[in-house]
Amino acid sequence: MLFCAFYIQAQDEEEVADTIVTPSNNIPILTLSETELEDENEFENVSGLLTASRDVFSNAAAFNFGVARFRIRGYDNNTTDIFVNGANMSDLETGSTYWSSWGGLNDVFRNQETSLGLSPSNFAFGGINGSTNIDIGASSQRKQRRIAYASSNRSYMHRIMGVYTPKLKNDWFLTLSGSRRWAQEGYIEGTFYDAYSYFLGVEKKFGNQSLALNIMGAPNKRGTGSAAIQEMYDIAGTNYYNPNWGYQNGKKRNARVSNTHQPIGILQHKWDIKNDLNLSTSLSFQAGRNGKTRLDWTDARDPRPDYYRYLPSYVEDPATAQQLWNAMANDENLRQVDWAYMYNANKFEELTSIENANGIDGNTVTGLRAKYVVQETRYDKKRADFNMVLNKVYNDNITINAGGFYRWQQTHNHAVLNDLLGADFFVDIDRFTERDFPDDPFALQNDINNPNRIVNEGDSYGYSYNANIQKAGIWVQQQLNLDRVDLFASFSGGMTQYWRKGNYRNGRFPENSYGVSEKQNFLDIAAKTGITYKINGRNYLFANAGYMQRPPNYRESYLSPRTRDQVVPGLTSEKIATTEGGYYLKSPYFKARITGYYTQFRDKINTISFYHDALQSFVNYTVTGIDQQHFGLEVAGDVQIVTGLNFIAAAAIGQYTYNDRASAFTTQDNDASVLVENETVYQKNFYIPGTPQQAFTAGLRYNSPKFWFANVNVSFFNEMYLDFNPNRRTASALAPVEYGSEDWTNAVNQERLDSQMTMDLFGGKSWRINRDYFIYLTVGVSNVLNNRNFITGGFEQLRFDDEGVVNRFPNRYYYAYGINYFAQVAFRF
Amino acid sequence: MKKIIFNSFLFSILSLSILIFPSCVDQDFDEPPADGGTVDLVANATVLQVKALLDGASFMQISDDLILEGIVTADDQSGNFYKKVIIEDATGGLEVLVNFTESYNDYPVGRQLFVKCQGLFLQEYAGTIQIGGSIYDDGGDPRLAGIEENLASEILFAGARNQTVPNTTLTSVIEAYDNSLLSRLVTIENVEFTSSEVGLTYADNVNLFSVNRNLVDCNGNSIIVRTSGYADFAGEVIPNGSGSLTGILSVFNGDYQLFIRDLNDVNLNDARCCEVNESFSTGLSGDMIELSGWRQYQAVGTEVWTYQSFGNEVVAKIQGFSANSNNIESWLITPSLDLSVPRKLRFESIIGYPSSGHTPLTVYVSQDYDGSNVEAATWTSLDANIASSADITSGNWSPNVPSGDVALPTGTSGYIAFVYTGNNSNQTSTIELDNIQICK
Repeated sequence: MLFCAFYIQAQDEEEVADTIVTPSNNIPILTLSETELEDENEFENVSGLLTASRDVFSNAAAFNFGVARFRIRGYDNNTTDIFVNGANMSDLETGSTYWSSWGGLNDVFRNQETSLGLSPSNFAFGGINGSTNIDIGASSQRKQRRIAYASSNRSYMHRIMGVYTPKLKNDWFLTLSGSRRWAQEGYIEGTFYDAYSYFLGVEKKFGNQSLALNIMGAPNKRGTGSAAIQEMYDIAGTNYYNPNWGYQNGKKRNARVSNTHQPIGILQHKWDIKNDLNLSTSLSFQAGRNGKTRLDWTDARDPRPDYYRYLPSYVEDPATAQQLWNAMANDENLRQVDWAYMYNANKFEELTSIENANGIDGNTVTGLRAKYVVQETRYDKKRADFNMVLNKVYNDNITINAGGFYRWQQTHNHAVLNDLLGADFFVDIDRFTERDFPDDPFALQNDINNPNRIVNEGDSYGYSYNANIQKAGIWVQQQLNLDRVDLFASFSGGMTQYWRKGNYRNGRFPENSYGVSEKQNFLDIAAKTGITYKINGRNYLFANAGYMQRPPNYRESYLSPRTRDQVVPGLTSEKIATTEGGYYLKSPYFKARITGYYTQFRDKINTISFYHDALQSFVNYTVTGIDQQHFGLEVAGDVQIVTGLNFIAAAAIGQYTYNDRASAFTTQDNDASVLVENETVYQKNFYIPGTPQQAFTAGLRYNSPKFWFANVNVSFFNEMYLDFNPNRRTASALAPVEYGSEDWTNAVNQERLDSQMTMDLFGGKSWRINRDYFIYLTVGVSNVLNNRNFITGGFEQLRFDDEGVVNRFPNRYYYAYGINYFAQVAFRF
Repeated sequence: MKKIIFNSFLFSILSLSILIFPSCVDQDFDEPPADGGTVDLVANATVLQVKALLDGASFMQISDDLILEGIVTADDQSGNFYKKVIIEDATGGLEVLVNFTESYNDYPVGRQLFVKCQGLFLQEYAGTIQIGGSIYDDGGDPRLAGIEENLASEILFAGARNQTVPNTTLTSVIEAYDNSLLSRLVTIENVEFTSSEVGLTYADNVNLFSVNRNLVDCNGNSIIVRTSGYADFAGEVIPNGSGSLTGILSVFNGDYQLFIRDLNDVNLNDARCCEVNESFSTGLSGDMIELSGWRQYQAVGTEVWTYQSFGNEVVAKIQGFSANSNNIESWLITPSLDLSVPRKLRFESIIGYPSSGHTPLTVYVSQDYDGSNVEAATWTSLDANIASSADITSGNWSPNVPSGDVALPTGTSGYIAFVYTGNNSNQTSTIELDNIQICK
């Protein structure tokens, strides 16, 4: 089975502000047009894949459900294993795979082999949502020279992409590719886009062996948007309001800039030892920077224009509230970041003298001490993988697959001072702590080993630690293919070890912040099995079942990893039991699939952190013992009406819920006390957020014999729920609210988003000129009906008013783009 | 192979052309220019005129297009002023309430500030007139709310920085008891904190409570210095010396108060004006007097000086009546005094139920007492006016009898002792002492 998956990755690994920071923000899967978060979802890309893909449901979902951030079966992104030339590409800290690492290299990432669900693959055990191996080896690339220009009004406006694969002699193969994507401003105001990519692939075959080296990178710098509260959208008069930017000398400057460059090298050795025995060995390495900026400040007021205290809803007097509304509606600057203000606040401070600076007695540094700075939150990783897979076929109908791997990653998590905004220096202390520990002169130091440190642009400050993770494992699988029945059974076992190494000795946590922490070890097993019954060549029945353990992700295992090495109490592996079964029809004129599935997750952990302005600190919520239940049906059909014209329909009808209560721990980065310990989160029967639980699409596709095609689709999304704040479902948070009152109901209930409909068009044509030249034109228009009220997701703010006033910190939303397009012309020669 | 090299070359050229293509994403930003230019407004009202609009009412909304111009005299940098900016012009000072914090970045001390008053409200709060943005309901009571952050740009116009800050110099605390000075920045000279508060903190920085401290001048007049627990100097210790102190003058229900802006306002570096300024106000009636630096010494008998309260007043008391011991000689000795400058002793005494022929109280000074051995020291009696039966006009009690200014000898240091002699049979008079001041 083949199908193609697309991912959006929000690399927003931490959304500052009263904003969710959730590793599971890496919203997966199957998306095309929702470019708000990331790219890699272009039509041109898909069309190539459509032809390669045979699964009718996956095609329809990939094509039409992306706008609603649909996730297959409601699963997280990290339930699919992604390999490139045999090397596992997932990040060991978060478990997710970031497709932006090769963003813009679409030309060389076309050859994808995917197994769906629990079905077996020849290259890996796979996740519960299958696995994909992408073959970028130079020998697998089509021999061509191709250059393409695309225009769009999504996250970028222009793209130039080229690939060159010459015909070489002596079993040498070469591929060069590169691209440039950019926009001074994308669909969302204040979002620039500035990305490149490069690729070099060299391969040499030696008889029955081959060696391929691939080197690639995708430097990407872009200004981001953020989810905002409805009040701000209403004041701004647009659901695409973006609080992140402001004018600086008349130019739009974004305070939340993502800047990533993590090149990858992959070396793969393939060896067909015998006709029925082959071995693949892959070695890969990735290293580089991944950062996102935010505003940081001390002794100054919150510079974010949508801070709740600046809004009309915060004002008691209705007339003043109206006045404020009018002022903010009429003056754009009141809705955006005021850069000039921050520069002035920094530059007109009286000179400050820092005594005993940098921990040196008598060393006094005098200058303008910054109140506002731009901080870059960094996740700089180094990752190495070794993976070996052996395939052996016996008697033409028994296949044995076996593999082993070792993976290693070190992520340097730290904050870097990006811009002093006109000041001379910043001092690495936590000013807010001064008030909490009046008698402890060290408490306010972020690094006691280097007290009163003067921070200049480019220096780390605040926190700095290395996440160290290693994994090793083996898997073995047997596939038996009989006339009527296919059977398989797979087993895997692995171990995971990780620890924290603090680079700073934090003044609040001198005992457990610096140096190497205790090591955490996990042993995990997984097994799956399945059967396919072939009624005849066109009708198939199948059933699969699996059980898996997964170690907790590093990112979710520490209560407050920025400051200390305290792990989540009762840290334990996640357990997954899943089963699926269904029916396939594969005939020339009618393809159909119906699949049912039931999956149970136990002991998941979720750690979310956010900036709490009253505490002037990051607050971390850790929820443990999360149990989830996912079940539903996937139905799809593709029927030819007349030659060239097909009717396609698909439906995903699921129910994804939390089916038990969970436990919450709350910590604060600048205080040792665990604010909340093991408190029950009443989240039973809450819905899994961030994906429609029901999605439907129907459309027509016409393929003309004259080398053009056109698609039209209508899609409908239902049962979408907002991400919720676990803290609001605890007894202590609700204590000030009268039980059963309207406030209580509002605080407890999960928001269901409105059902939505979209319509999309897509078409293309190709021309052949002379004999060797081709021109391809593809055009897609999404959301043709210009539905601008489509909330695709969002979250409850994690800060909850102490007095239980629910609307003090209202929900934040993302809206889908209105009508938008993508058009490309490509030239192949 | 040549062809491949050529094609690679061609591809490289193409790649370069991608870079040369007008594809710059402009993300270079110049530093914004400094603010603080001239404000295109002309004042047409004075602080005095605007405050007069309230005319005794609790609230009023300003309907005329009045524009004030003042210099910021206090901001919220230290945290002692919360959500307010104090401005002053030639006619007076005014508290401007804002509904946002860290406003010192916009309106620091010394900055010229124009206020467009139209639509703003005035409020009298416990005697101080404030201007703000709106009236809100504070649990049934109307209260003035500060100007909203996002409305400030149309109301408050900050001009040139680093202007001369107006400051009124006063030579005694009495001069500060003046409503026309309210919300002005004043500097009072010849003052110090009352001795019992020296060494304490300005405010409660642990529980974040505001605290009132007493500032006294050399004449013994006092005024409250109030400090917020959130002030960044709240945990600092009150200094010992005398000198001048600067702050914004305020009033709270008839009590005048000073709010200092930061510790640069405290210039108490001279020798204390009053070495002692003891009103015994912290004691509980009936308890033995135990004060930091003070000493009691019972040369004869066991009778001690105790606190005695009546009404709001607390005094030091001793008597022979119903005493345990037959004969009494009981000393109350001050802390060590700096006598390097000429000083005067003042105190008040009261006599009650005098026994005839009994002179119960004598006041001494010693310059060689070592702080422990009373008997070995040389004590010289001082000529003070002490209450006697002659002062009683009716009943059994005299009024408070001021001692008059008793000049003390100069030298390096010394002690004053108040010595009661008597017995429990025929020399039983009651003596009470209050407001003992040893000042320049």
